[in-house]
Amino acid sequence: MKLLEALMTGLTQGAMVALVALGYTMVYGVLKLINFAHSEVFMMGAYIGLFAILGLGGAGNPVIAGVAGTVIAMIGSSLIGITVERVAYRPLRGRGKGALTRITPLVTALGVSVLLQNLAQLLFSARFRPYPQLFTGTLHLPVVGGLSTSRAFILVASIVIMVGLELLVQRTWFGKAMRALSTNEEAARLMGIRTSRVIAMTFALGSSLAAIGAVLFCLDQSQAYPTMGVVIGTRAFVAAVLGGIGNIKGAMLGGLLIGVLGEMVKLTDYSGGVDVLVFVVLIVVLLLRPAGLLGTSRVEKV
Amino acid sequence: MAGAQAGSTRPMGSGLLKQIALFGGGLLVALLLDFTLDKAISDSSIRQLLMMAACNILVALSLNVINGMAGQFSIGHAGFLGLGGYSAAVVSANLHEALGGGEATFGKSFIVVPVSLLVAALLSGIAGLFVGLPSLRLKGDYLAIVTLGFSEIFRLVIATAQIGDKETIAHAWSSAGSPRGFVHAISVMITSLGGQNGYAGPKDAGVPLYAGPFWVVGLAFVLGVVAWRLKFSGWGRALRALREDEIAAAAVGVDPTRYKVTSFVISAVGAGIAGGLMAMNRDGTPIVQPDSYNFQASFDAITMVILGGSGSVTGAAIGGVFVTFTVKAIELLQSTSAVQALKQRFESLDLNALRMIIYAAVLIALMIVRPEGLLGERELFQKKAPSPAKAK
Repeated sequence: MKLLEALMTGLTQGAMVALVALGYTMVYGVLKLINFAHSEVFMMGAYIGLFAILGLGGAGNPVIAGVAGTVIAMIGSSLIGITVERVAYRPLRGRGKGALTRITPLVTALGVSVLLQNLAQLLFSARFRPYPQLFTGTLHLPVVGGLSTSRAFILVASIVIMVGLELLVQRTWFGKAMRALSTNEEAARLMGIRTSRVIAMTFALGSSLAAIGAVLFCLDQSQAYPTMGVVIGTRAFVAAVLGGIGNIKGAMLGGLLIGVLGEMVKLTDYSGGVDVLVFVVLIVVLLLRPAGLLGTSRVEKV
Repeated sequence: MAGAQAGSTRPMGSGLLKQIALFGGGLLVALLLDFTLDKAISDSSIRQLLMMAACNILVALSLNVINGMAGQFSIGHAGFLGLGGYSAAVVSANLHEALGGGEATFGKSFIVVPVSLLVAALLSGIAGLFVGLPSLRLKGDYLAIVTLGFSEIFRLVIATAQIGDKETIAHAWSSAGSPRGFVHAISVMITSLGGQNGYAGPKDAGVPLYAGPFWVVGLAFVLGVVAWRLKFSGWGRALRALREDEIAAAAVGVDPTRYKVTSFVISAVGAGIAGGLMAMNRDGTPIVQPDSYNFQASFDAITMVILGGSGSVTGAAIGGVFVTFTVKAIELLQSTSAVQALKQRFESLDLNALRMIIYAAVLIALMIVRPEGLLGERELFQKKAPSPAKAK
């Protein structure tokens, strides 16, 4: 029973990690860039969600405050994501030569990450802010046993969103354009795809997912703080690499695996070792299957 | 290799003599500083600042090898600094006890400092190999995230150790036959590093501060020369070729993985020495704390290299000095009454956060306007750019 319970909690945690991992993997898919700022967009999403939910009535008005607050957080995060892309990444695209083309965007990405994190520290102070509890009580499910209502909601919501995303990527024009861009940017542009717009939309989509992940994460952990992006961001990145970076289904799978793995560790004596294990997983994946579980490695032609 | 041949055709005689003179002169200055610095500068905070600047030059020089010369992106330099700092602190404190304790004299420092730094460099180098090999084998920027993970985990493992049980390390190892006992023994060893409060020697008497100006300034000078020589050696040229075009370099026989991993290990060894010197710095504090090795320390190191110019040895040194002085200036600013008054009004005003915001903004702007930094890849005091046509 304890194992099953941990499995359910792990899936919940993993679903949230997967939502954040999707942002890393989508941006990597179109730009081949590790967007270090993504974890801080996640954190900003948590704060925007917090203020919006509190402003709309908080726990006294759970349905409206929760839904509207999440939507506001999504819009806010998307704006931050698009701004980051516009200010820090777009001016660099197609410029520089040699090693600079690769290193420069990484430095700006890191710079944006540090900037946002310290901005949050300055604006919201470093203290932990409590998140309003929108869900109370426990569900009694057959087989699994007790599961708190908020966790059940998180799991269901995440799965619905991931299915929706899969439909968006596979069935819509935007999804097709995004996939085309990630396969070959030059060819996509020649086929009449406005690459800059698709890139901006990818950032917006990734940031919205991070905002949903942030609100759900805070419902579970019930606090927001400026450095929260670092821990979840690292886990999410490892999840993306584990599944195969650039691969959307891979990010979902990787996220769930990381979540379950983390909860399994908590059952042992070394509950503090989750992040050490995540790091070890990253090293092992890079050694054994660098393209990730679902990724395929491409041979580079000169 | 083409670089090695180019080196041997240069007239060596006068160059060698010049270099010996330069080396001897530098070390003599460092030796003199060791005895006169206390008297020449009575204000200990300024002395501390100068020593810190010398240490930070080493930090920037070592990061420059991987971030500048090799064109990879490591963002976990603090992890290697921390590993060096902690190992040097542990070794020097225990060695100090073994030598009978007492005052940290200049004579004894010739035993303690080299041994501690050797251990620090060795451990950092091994950690560098462990981190670099899997991530540099691949195309893509995995090194960044792996180094970040490494440094954060290093810090968290030490900081979150539960202090309290006073089991001795020897006792823990005596029962370390089973895997469980082995893990327990390791956790006892980590616990003995003092957790969040920091490590201050085996008897909490403080880490002996052996590294005076002779060691700090002298090593900054020696390793600066080493970095310079590395850059213009055949090895440095191969590295630069690799950075500019990996496929082309591989086609002419430069093994990408070998060169990248070697440069990363060299960078880690340098960071280990820098961290060790910081921990034993005579004008520093006799305690090493996990919080000194947080992400901010890594970011400061990156700022030093980027500001000065990625790939430039003198640029990295300038960046190191510049960042040291800015940190100090912010500290001084923090204690002025105007800022204190401002703090009364806005309670969340965190000058350190503000400094990081400014750094980050400057870094982003610099990357967009002038991505090569202050000096680019050029050097101060460089007679002429080494042209490949003449080297042949």
